Amino acid sequence: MLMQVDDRTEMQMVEAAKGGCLESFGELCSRYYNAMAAVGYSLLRDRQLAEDAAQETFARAIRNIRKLDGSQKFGAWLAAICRNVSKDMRDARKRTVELKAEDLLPAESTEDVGASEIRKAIWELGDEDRETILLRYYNELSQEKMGEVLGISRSAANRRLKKAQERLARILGRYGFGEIEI
Amino acid sequence: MNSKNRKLDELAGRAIGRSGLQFDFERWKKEHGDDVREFETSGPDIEGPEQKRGTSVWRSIMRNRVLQVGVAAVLVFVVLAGLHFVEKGTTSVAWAELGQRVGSVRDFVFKVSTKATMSGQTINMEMYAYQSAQHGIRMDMYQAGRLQMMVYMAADKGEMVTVMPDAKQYIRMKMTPEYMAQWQKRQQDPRDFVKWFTSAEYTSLGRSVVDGIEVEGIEARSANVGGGMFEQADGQLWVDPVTQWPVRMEIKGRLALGMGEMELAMYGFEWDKVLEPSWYAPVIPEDYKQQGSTMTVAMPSEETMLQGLKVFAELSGGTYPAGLSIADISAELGKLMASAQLQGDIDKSEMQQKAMDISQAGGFYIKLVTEKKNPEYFGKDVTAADADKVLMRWKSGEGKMKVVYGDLAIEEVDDVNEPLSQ
Repeated sequence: MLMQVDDRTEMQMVEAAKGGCLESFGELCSRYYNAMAAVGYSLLRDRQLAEDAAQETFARAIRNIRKLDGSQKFGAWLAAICRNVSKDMRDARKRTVELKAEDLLPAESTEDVGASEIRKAIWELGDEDRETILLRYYNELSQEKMGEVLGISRSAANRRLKKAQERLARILGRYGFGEIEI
Repeated sequence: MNSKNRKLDELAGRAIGRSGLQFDFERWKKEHGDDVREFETSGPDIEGPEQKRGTSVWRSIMRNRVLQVGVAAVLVFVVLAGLHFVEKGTTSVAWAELGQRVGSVRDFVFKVSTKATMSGQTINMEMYAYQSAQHGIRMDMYQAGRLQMMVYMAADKGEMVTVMPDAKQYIRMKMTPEYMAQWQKRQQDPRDFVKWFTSAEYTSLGRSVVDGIEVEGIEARSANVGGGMFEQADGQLWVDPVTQWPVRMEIKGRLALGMGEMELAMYGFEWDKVLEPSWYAPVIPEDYKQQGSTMTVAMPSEETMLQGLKVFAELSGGTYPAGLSIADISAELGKLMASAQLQGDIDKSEMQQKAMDISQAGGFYIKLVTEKKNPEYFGKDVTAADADKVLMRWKSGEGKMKVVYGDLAIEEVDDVNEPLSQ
């Protein structure tokens, strides 16, 4: 029996959005907002800018979604746009003001002791590891959703997360957090 | 997860966690009004990475956003029209009463849900159809709950109008008298599918409840379903034993000529409904513009095919489409129109009619295939300069073949049953 309209899969929503359904596009944006904010944050190191990047990502996506090839995964496609948007924003920011690494790590008055060091440790990770860690911890994304954004399977996302966690644990060990096994 | 790993989760979550982040789509729409308006007013974009053979019908027709919806509609219409008029024999009939009863209905209403997968792309569409032997056809077509097109085919005027609210445009097509005569004679619609069910070898599904009605069903599987629309299909037909009218039909199968796969559900029937003539008069708001000029649709025939091939060769500089299936035609049209448009040597109205002409070549080819006339086409190797080479041939009668040469000369010859070596 054919699927009912209200019971649509992501693929159907993408097709609907490609066909001009704004509501479906909005639903897709809602589903991926947190993930895109995490991707943006991994490159911009600023929560507000990361949300701006996520919103600009959707603006570029709505202009181009009809070009999305059937074989491309929507989440991975969106993440690729978000990386480009974030890099553009980062470059523009660098041009206007020369910032130190510390300036990109705003401390929060109520934050726990050591949070700043943990963020520093995260920024020491390579791009791929940092993005993976942020996808997981920025808004507790599931490994399945991480896989969709990274364009890999759930199990591959799990493996990638484990490796990133191991590297992060090693850096945290150097920062005096003791031994953290993964 | 061990305790040490939990510690990492806690540390990282506290340091960078951002719970409660919500996306405000309404606000985003206001802040990106221009992009949203552009999205809402433009049709599906077929400007893809690279045009390639076998890509989606919807993507590869042409690069002009304004024209593409209309031409896609024309192409699909013409191809279906090719199937539409295929004569087919009937076999032994079971459930004869039902087939005859439904076949005698002149006016009825129904809904259709389709899920078509063509070249890896899935298209879902819902249609509300109002079919009248006297007045014509009206179909309101929706995608994702949004009205995309209203198609009016007025029987008395021999005219089909497609209104596209998003684009604020409409397409007008004029059918030839021969076309309309055939259309009056046979229509491919749920009645034909009922006949297929009742004439195929079927198995009983017993009683069930479908769409809230207690029904009795049968299941059938066979080739050449829907006048050749499906190459192979499985289907279920559910009938209300009290009223003896069909309640729901579902057909799933491979489309003919490698076009893809389709799931088709027809339901919400209102048989023998009195339909108002006013429903068949196109409602075109004043600010809607006609897309191109009024096109002429003829019955798929040798003449329309030769005209289509001639138009193609004129546009391409002497070559012919590599194939005449729907996938080949759509891909070739995409390349050709994009090239013509880039060169700026063709206006939109002209382009639309030429696309229609070329599509009709495909319509005739499909007709030949479904009528089992064994057409062979050599467009890949034969050009307009090859007056001595066979471009196409098919069985035209007992021991006879029609042969079209590279210069589009046509003759009927004895069928010597020899393969061509060209």
